[in-house]
Amino acid sequence: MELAVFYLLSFVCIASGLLMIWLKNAVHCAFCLMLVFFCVAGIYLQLGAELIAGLQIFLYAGAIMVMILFVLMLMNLTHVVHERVFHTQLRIGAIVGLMTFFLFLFLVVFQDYSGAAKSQWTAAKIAQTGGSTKAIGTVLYTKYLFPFEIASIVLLVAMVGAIVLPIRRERRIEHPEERIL
Amino acid sequence: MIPTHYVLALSAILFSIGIVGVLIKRNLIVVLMCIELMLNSVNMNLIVFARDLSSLSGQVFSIFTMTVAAAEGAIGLAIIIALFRNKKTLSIDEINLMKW
Repeated sequence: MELAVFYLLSFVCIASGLLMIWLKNAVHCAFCLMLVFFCVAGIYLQLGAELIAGLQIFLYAGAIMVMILFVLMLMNLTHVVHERVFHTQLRIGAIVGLMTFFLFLFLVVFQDYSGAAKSQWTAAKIAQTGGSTKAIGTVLYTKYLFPFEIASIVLLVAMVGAIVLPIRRERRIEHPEERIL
Repeated sequence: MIPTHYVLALSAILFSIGIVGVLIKRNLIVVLMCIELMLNSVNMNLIVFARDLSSLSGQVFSIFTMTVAAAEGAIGLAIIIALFRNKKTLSIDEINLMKW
C-alpha cells in the first residue's frame, strides 16, 4: 500500500517534470513545477521527514513558485518570447541527460548501502523526542548553530541583493514642467 | 518501508530532467525553474539517506539547501528583472553580448 502511493507520487513527479520541459508557455511550466513540489513533499512524508515536507510546501511551492509567477506576470511576455525554433539542441540535451542519468544509476543507485554505520536518531528515538520537528530543533540549535547563523547571513545578503538589483535609476528630466507628480 | 534505491532512482530521474531542461529551454525563467528541480532532487537524496542511516544531519542539511535555493532564486529573479529591463527579451538566444 505504501509502495503503491510511492509509485503514484513518483509517476506524477516524473510526468510533470517531463511536461515542464516540454511546454512552451512559461506559466504552464511553473504550474507543472508546483505539482512536482507537492508530490516531492508527499514522498518526504512517506520517508518520515514531516518538518521537511512542511518546509517544502511553505518554501518551494508557497514562496519560490509564487515569486517566480509574480516575476512572470510582471513581464508582459505576449509579444516578447517567441520560441521560433522550438527546442533547439534537443538532441544534445537528450544525450547529456541520458548520460547523466546512467552515470547516477551506476554510481549512486546500484551501490550497496547496507554496511554503512547508523547513528542514533532512529524513527523510534525521533518519535520519543516528540516528533520530527522537535528532534530537528534539538539538533539544529545545538550542534548546527553556526551553520544556522551563517544561513541567516546568507538570507540577509540575498534580501539586500534582491532589493538593490532591480532599482531603477532616476531618469534625467529635461523640462521640469514635465514632471508628473 | 520504501526501499532506498527506489527513491535514489527517482532523484536521479528528476536530476536528469532538470539538466535536460537547463540545456533545452530558451526562456530564462524556465531555466531557473529547472535549476530548482535539480536542487529538489538533491534534497530528496539527503532525506532518504537521513532515514537510511538514522541520522538527522541529512534533514538539517536539506533545510540549509532549501534556504540557499530560496536565496539564489530571489537573486536570480532580480537579475532577470534587471536584464529584461535592458534587453527587453527573456530568450537566451538573444542575450549573447558576451558571445564571441
